[in-house]
Amino acid sequence: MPLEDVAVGQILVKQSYLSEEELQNALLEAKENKQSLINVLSGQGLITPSLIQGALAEHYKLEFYDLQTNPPSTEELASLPEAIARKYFVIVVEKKENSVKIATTDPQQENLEEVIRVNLGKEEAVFPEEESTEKKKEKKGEEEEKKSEEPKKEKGKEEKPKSKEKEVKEKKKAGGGFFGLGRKKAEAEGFKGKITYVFASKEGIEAMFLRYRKPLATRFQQIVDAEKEVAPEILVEIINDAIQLRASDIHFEPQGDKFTIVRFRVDGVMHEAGRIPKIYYEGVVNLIKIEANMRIDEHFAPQDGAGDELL
Amino acid sequence: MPAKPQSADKEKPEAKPGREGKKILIVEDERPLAHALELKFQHEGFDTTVCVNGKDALEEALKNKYDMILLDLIMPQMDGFTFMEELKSRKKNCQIIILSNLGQDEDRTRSKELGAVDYFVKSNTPITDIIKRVKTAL
Repeated sequence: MPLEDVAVGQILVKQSYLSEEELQNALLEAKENKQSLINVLSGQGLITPSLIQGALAEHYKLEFYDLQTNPPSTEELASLPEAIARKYFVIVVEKKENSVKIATTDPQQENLEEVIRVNLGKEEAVFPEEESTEKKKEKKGEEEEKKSEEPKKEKGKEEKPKSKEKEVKEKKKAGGGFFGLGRKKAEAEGFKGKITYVFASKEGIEAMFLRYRKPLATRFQQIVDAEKEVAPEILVEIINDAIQLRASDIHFEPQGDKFTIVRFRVDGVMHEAGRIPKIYYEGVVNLIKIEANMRIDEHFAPQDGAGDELL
Repeated sequence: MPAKPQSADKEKPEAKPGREGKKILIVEDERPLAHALELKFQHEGFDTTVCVNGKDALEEALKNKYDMILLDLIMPQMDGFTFMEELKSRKKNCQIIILSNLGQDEDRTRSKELGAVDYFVKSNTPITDIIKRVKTAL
């Protein structure tokens, strides 16, 4: 889950992207004007989204992964169920036989590694069981006991501060194993290869969620199979999808003799939306040309046209 | 009015061993990036000065001696290439690292010919990589 603004502000100070004084001033301004802290810092010209991502990646000691220049394939993305990806803000960006690379906004989430191991390659999401009320009470009691013991510790025997990595490991160890199908079974069935985490921006990951939609091809495949008027129906499906996904452009990319890839640009990022078999592509293009008052016998020169009654 | 070079005298952290007095001129018109670079390098113990255009940067570089110049290429008043040509014609030697959004090979080649020791495309480079490179060079 993405961090709150104030936590991001503290990380920016810790990583020397911002001074403490600048953060305090911005917090005051944000409170006075009821604005988000990040908006105030951006307005003051102190920070940009890419600097924030850099600071967070530094904080988590992870490599920054640019989803815009290296988007994962549809297969890689689909190797984690959508519900898991959305809940934990994680996506698979690279998958090999024995290793997987996961982009996330927060690698320190409780149970994250187990959730990924159990869910990799699954179609249906498996979530950790919610802790029962009794367990929660027990845990709370233990925590309070620990707190009351802390002041008793002698000053001279102060424990060394735990490293961040160690803390995360312990957190995972303590919190893990709440899966409904039983921890042992979950472990036995789960992915056993190496998991590497990389940091990606919240916006980049959100843009990837759009690709979890069923590919366009699966919808128009039914039309193709029915052998009806293929071109108009495919085109209408493509345009409907583009409108629904708030795409700014539709790109047709012919791939030799096999098929044509249809891509949508959504929030500035190109996404594969589906594939049209080559035998139907010509019909789709001709239909667009007719509707836009272009010559259908011109295949080599660029043409410019417009139409407003396609639907 | 052009922004005056901002010297890093306020609340300067103690210089780390081996970096005492090492001076870096940051020539960058993107204020947030210049600000982050300034704070990060100060945190590493370097002395920093920021200029937001090529003309001010040239004056500053001629007036004071810098161990390293971090230079943007596209800037108001004077671009990075002209800045390097001017420095070269006045026989002012200083290590220069380019930080630019231009990613073409010809820009890299031209920068190297004018004396740049390294070239980073801003959008592909985390700040930590720039700091590591500077620390290696100094």
